[in-house]
Amino acid sequence: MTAKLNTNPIAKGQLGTPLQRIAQWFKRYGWQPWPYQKKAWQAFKKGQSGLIHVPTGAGKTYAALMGPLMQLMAQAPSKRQQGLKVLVITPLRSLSRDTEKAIQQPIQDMALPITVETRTGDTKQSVRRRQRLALPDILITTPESFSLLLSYANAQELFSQLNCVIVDEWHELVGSKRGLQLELNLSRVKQFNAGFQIWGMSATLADPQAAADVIVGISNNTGEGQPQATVIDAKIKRPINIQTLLPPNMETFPWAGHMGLRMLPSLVAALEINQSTLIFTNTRAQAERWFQEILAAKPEWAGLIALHHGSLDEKNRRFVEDALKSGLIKLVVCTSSLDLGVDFPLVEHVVQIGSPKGVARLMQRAGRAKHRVGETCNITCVPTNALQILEFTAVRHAVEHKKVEAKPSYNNAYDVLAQHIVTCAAGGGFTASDLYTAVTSAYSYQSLTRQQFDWVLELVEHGGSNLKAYPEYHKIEHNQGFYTVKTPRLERLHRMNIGTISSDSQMAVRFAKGKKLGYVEEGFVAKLKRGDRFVFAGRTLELFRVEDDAALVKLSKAKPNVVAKWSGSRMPISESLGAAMRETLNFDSKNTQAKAEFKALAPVFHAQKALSSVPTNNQLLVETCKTREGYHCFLFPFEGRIVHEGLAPLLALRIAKNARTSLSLSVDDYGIELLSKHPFDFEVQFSQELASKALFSQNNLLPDILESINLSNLAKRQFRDIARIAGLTQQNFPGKRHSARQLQTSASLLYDVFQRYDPNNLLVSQAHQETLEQFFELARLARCLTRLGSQQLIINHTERPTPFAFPLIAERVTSTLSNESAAEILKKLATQWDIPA
Amino acid sequence: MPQRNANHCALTQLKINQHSFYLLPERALYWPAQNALIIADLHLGKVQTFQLAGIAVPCGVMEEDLQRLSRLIANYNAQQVIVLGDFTHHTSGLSPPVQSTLTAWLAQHKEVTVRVILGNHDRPSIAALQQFNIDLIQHSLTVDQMTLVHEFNANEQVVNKSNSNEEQHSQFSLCGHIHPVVRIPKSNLGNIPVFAIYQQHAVLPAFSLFTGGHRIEIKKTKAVYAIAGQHIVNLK
Repeated sequence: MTAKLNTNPIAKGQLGTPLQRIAQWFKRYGWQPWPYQKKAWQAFKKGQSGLIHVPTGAGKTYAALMGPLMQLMAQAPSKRQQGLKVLVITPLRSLSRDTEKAIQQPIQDMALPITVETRTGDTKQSVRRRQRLALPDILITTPESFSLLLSYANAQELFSQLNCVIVDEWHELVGSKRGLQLELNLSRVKQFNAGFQIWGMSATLADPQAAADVIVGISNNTGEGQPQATVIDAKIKRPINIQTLLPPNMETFPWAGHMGLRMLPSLVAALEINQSTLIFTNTRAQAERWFQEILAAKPEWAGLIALHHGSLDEKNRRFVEDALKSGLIKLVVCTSSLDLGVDFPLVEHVVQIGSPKGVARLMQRAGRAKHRVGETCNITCVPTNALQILEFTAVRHAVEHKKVEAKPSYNNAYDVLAQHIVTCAAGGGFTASDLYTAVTSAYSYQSLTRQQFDWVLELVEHGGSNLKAYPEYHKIEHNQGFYTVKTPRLERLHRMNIGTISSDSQMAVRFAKGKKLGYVEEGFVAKLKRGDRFVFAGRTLELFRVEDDAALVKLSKAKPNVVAKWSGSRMPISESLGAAMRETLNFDSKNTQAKAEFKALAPVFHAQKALSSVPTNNQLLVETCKTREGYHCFLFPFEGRIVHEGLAPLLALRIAKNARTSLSLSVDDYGIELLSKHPFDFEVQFSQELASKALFSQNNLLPDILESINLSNLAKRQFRDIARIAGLTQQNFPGKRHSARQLQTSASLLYDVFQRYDPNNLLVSQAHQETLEQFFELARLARCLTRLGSQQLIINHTERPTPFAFPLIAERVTSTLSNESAAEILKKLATQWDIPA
Repeated sequence: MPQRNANHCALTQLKINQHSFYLLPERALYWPAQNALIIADLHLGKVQTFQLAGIAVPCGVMEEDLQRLSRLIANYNAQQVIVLGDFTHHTSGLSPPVQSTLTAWLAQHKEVTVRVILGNHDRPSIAALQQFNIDLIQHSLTVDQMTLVHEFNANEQVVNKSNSNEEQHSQFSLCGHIHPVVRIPKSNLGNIPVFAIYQQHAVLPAFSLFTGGHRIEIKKTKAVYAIAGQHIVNLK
C-alpha cells in the first residue's frame, strides 16, 4: 500500500508549522494530544532516544511517530533524498496491518508526500524485490525481515538515510532471542549511519529504564559520557478488575486438575452473548475442548463463537480476528495467540480459564478488554482446581502492588551472534575489528570479549578453532581481512533460515479437497492410525491418509478417540506470582476483595488445618505421610514447577548422601514430593538442625545440581534451538523438502557428536549455561534455597495426604529425575516392561 | 567360541532357525558359523556431506566407527565383514580425505573380506565405490539359507518362500535401513538403538554413531534387544 503522493510542493508557512498541523489533525478527530505524547515529541526533537512506557491502547503509535513525521514534514520533498527515513519494527506480522493503517491516517488526511509500506513474510514477492532496491520513507517490518534486508549487498545504501527506528511492543521482544537479533541489527545499522534515533514502545514492565537502555544500546563515544536512555512514562492508569468465578459447590470441587470443565455451566451462565468476549486458555488442547463444550451447551451460539490458536491456519485466524473486530463474532476461545497484537475495541470482557501463571501475563490479557485509555479492564478468572482460587487472589494482590516479573536477559548469546555474522558477511561484508566494535555497542553484547567474538567468527568461517575438525566446512571466507559469504547458494540458504523462532516439525491438516485447517505436530500424526478421530479446529476429524507433508482428514460424526497433542511443556507460575501466593496464604480472611474467595476456600483450608497446617510467609511446611504407595514427604516452597524440578533432585541427592535410599520424585507449581518405597524417616532429615541446614546449603550447589540431574539430556533440548539459530541444523532448504534428505538430522544427535568430538565448542557450553540459567533458573533456585534455609520448618506427620499434597499425588508426572544409569533403568524395566498399547 | 576380555559380561545369544548369532553392544552381530561380523548403515562420509552443505559438524565419527569395527575384527578374529547397506552416506561425502581414510583402513585389514550390500544411500556412488577393495553386492546375499539384504520387503519374502521346496525352515532375513530405536516412556534416555526381531526378519541398529533412529512399535516385534552402554538388555 502506498500513500497517494501530493505532487504540489507545499509552501512552508502556508499551512502552519508541522506541530500546528499535527495539533490540527488531532482536533479533527476530537482528540487532544496526551501530555506524555507531547513529551515524546519534544524528546525526539532534542535528538534523544529511549522508551515510551504506556499501558496498551493509549496512543503509543502517535507518541513515537509524530516526532519523526514532523521532522519529515519540515523538509521540502524536493530536497529530500529518496530512501528509508523511519523504520517501524513490530513483533507480529498481523500487527503490521494495523500499524500501517494508523500511520497512513494522518499522512493521507494531510496529503503528505510521504510513502508508507509494509514488508513481512506475507508481502508479495514482486513488492519485496522492488523494496530491496529502494525503500519507502516509512517501512513497517518484523525483526526477521529487518535481518533479511541487512543480508543484501546494498544494505549500507538502504539504511544511509535513516532518521529513526520505532520498536513497537518492545516488552514482547526484550529478553528474548528475537530481541537480541534486533539489538544486533541496530548495531549494524549504526555502523552504516550513526545518526539515527531509537524509540521503543512498551506496556507495563518491571524495570522500564533497563528496557530503554537495552533498546538504545551502548554509545561508542566513551569520551563524551554515556547519555542515558530517556524513559517517557504516560502515568495513565488502567484499573484492572479481577473477579473469580467461584464454584457453586466447593465440597465437590476437585483439588487437582487443569481442564476445568466442571466450571462450564457456571461460565456459560455468566456469559452474555451480546457482549464481545475473549476466553483465554493455557493450552491449545484446552481451547479446543472448551470451544466444543461451550458449543454443546449453547448450540444456538453456533456462528457467534469461534476458536483461535497458533496451530490453526493463518487464513482462518485472520477471519476470526476480523469478525471479532467487526462484531460478527461475539465470543472467541483462544490461547496466547491473542495475547498481543491487533486491537479489538469491541471486546468488553475477558475470561481466563486456569492458572494465570504470571502477573504480567494476566495484566496483558486483562488489557485486551476495552482497549481504550482510562477504562477499567474486567477479567473473570475460572479456577480448574481448588487451590487455584488462591492464585487469583495472589495475582490481584501482585497487580495492586505492581509486582510484575523482571525480564530474563541473555548475555553474549553465541548462536544469535553466529547468525548475525553471516548476515553481515552477505550484506556487504565486514572487517573483523569494525564488526566487533559494532556488536559490542549492542547492550546484550557489551561484555563480549574480542576473543569470544573471534571464536564465533571462526565458528562460521571454518567450524571453530579446532581446524582439523571441519575440513570441508566454509560458510564465510575472507580476502585480506574482508569477510563475505562463500557462494550465492550459501547466501540463499542463510536467508531462508534467518530468525530465532524455532518451530517444531509440523504437519498440515487438510481436507481431501484441499482446504487447510492448520498444523499439528508431526509426532502426533505419526502415532495416528487410519480411522482415528481427533478434535481440531473445533471439529471432529477422521484421519484417512497421510501424505508427504499433510494429514488428510474428513469430518466425523463419531466421538473422538485420541486427543491432539502439541509440544510445549506446561508453563510454570512465575517468581512474582509464587511470592504473592505465599503472602496470600495468610491474608486476613476479612480482606474485603478476597472475602468471597476465602469463603469458598474455607472447607479446603479447614481440611488442611485439621490434618496439618497452613504455613505463614516465613515458614516452610513439610508433611510426611504413609500410604499404600510408600513413605511420602511433601515440601511446599510455592516456587513454580521449574524451580521445583531442580530443587527436588537436589534435595533427593542430599538426603541420599545422608542415608542411602532410592527416592522417586514429583513436582507441581506449589510443592515437591519425595517418595520412598521402603520405610524412611524423612522427619529426621529435616528436624536435626545440622542436617536441615546442609539440605538447603548454598555450598557445593552447582556440583550437587550437576550430580543430581542429567544435564546432557536437558541441554539437548536447549541445543536444538541454539543449533538452529547458529545455522547447524536448517529448517528450510532451497528447493523441495525431500531433496535435502541427506542433510536431515536431529539436534540431539548433533549434540552427541559435538559433545564427543568437539567438546570445547562454545555452542555446547552455551547450551549448558542456558539450561542452567533459563531452564532451571539457577539464580532463582539459589534464591529459593536461601529463603528455605532461613525459614522456620513446620514438620507435620499426617494421617492422609492433605489438600496441599493431593495434587502432587494426583499428578505424579514422572520419575525422570532419577540419576540411575541407562543400563540400570533398562534392566529394571525389562522385568516389568509394560508394552504401550 | 568368541574370545572376549574377562571383564565383559556374558554375550547375548540370538537363535534363528538353526543359526546362532551373538548380539554385540557395539551395534553389530557376530555369526560364529561363518566367522563373520554383520553390521548395517555405516554412513561413511556423512559429516563431510554436512560440512560441504555449510553445516558445521565436527569430524571424528567415521574414524571412531572404523576403529570400533577394527576392534571387533580383532576381538572375534573375524574373516569377513558384511555390511547390510548404506555403507556410505552421499556422493558428496566421498571426498579425497574420506577416500584415503577408507583405503588405509581396508589396507589394514587385507585378510578380511568386506562385502557390501548396496543400500539406497550407496546407489548413486557405485562408480566411486568400485575402486575400493570391497565386494559390492547388488541386492541381497544368501548365506546358508539366511538372506542378507538392506531393506526388508515382506512381498519378496513370500515369493522366495513359495519358490523354495523345503518347508522345514522358512526364509529369514537380516537387514538394516530403518535404524531401529526405542524410547523408554517417562525416562529422559532419548533414543536407544535396538536389534528388532520379527517373524521373518531381524533389523540391526545403525552401526554409525552419527545416525538418527526410527522408533519401532514394540508390540509388532517378536523380540527387542536394547543397547545400554556395554550391555544388551532384552526388552521383550
